[in-house]
Amino acid sequence: MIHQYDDKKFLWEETLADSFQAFLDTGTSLKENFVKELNDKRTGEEGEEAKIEDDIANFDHMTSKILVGVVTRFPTLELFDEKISHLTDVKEKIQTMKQSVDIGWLRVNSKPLIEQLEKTITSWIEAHTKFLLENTTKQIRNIDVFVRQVAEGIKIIPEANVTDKEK
Amino acid sequence: MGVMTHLRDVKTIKDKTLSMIEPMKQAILMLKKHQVKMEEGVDYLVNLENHKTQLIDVSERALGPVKE
Repeated sequence: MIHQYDDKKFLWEETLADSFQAFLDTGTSLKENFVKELNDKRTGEEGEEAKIEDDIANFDHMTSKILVGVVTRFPTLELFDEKISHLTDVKEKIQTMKQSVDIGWLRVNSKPLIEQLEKTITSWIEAHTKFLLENTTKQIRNIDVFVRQVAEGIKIIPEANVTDKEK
Repeated sequence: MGVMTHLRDVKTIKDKTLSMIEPMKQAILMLKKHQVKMEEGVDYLVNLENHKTQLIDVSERALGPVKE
């Protein structure tokens, strides 16, 4: 009977916080990905080093506007998808487990355990989906703020241009 | 914040920010696939498309036509 819990034992052997952090740490940061992209495109031509330095500085500047409060080190979307699918499969298995089992003359009521496991696995799934949703919506909000600030800040440009032409 | 600062910001940030829109859309699509509840009345995919258009628009106003 106990073997039916083998593929679920991570739920009590690991803590959600540690396991999720370890999962995030398997990813590379957005900056590392960007620098790798730049290095992969290197051709060795003159002035390339300065351009790469500029690109990295621009990336850092973008980070200070668009990635404020955003976690930048996380695994690929494919790995998130795989992990959420796996956890959802485990949840479905938990939901279909027998709530009582007869062992000889003994009837074991598994209902409380199954309910607790279901709650636990739901919180694991939510940790992964909530992270992605919040991280994405923070970026959307940051883009929104940035666009509004620029739109407001450049309102003065056309007037200045007209004045220059008139001069 | 001065106009020049805004122009510099939009010039340096625009391209990388636009390139991040698609991965964000993919993240939302993946969450929808897993039936994740999102804020009621908010369609993040439409939201992202609107922000993309607004960013291109504001960049064009600030710097001239944006190359995509």
